Amino acid sequence: MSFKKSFKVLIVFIGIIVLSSCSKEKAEAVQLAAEQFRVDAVLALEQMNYLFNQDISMTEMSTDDQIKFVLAVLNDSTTVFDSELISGIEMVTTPNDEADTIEDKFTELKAQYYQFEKMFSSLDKGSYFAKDAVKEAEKHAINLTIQLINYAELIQKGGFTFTAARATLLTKMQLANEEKNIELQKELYKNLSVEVIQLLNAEKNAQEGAIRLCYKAAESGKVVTELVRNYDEMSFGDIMNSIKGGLSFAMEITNGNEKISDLAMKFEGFENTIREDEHYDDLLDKKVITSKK
Amino acid sequence: MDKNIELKTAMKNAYIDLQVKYNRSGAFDKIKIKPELDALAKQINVLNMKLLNEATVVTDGDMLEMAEIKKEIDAAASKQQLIAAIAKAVAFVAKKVM
Repeated sequence: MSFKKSFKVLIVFIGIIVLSSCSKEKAEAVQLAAEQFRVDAVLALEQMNYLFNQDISMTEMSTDDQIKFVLAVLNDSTTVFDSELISGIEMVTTPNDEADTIEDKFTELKAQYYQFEKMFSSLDKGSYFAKDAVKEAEKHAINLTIQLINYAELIQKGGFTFTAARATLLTKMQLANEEKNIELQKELYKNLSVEVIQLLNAEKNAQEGAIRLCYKAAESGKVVTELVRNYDEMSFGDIMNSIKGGLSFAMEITNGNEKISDLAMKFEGFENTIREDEHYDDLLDKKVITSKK
Repeated sequence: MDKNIELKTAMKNAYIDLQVKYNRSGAFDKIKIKPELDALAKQINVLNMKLLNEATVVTDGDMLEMAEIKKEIDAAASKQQLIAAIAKAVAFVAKKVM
């Protein structure tokens, strides 16, 4: 190889090193944004898991109540001591397994966001040659973001309650209603009215908390979407500005400075933009874009 | 979604009323009522899962695609690391020669 040719090869190699080191910082910023997206989404999904559990909850018996229950069965003169009796006692003292079904589903959903984050785990080492692959990730960033917006809407409309607490309160109300001592009844009603307000507030806070976490995660998803879409064109400074902007808005969401209704409108706007943007026509399935309609 | 939520609300009301009855029942009635309660909880949960699935956009196919993209990025990283190592070696040799 002539000296001139070797020199050209050297220049090309040095160019690659320089380009790689420039885009390494960009790659690390994408990794950071993907990690933030996963962290926020997992938090939102955990809060949703809690709401789903509460929605089908049933007052659980304390150990004392379980012993009282078994004693009552044994003390009854008509009790038949057979295997059915044990099955009956087991059924009453064991919670149903619906919580496991819910947990499995949310574990599956959380895995999607972990998978998204994992995609970029070696991007900092392949920042220059992975440009095309990064672009392919855009579809998934959008889908995962829209999914969170859908979940926020589901919680808002889904009528999730603290069901066991409602049943306990209604039981107390019936007992208070049957109380013969008028003074005691008045006192019971007074206490119950406080409990009703406390329960309704607790339900509202839990629902709003989950909605805000979904929107916060969706905001992180929007940031990642922008980063992967413009990975080639954005400078490191643009990327950092985009991340900072997303973080500051996310803070507003969790601090409660943004009303839920305003947030719903803002993110509906994001979905509409995607539906109307020709760029996404080839990228996303029609099924995905129209999934809510 | 709305029809399923209406249905769920009706079932939840029945579930709560039955829980109140259960809370106030004696031991043997509790044994009779508990299977009904469990069945209602299951039905409500089925509806909740249906609502959740309707709102879910990401499919198993997407999970596989994401795994493929990860492979592409990993391959790009290996390629880039190899070229960078060669470039460094060439630069080292060139520096000695020049």
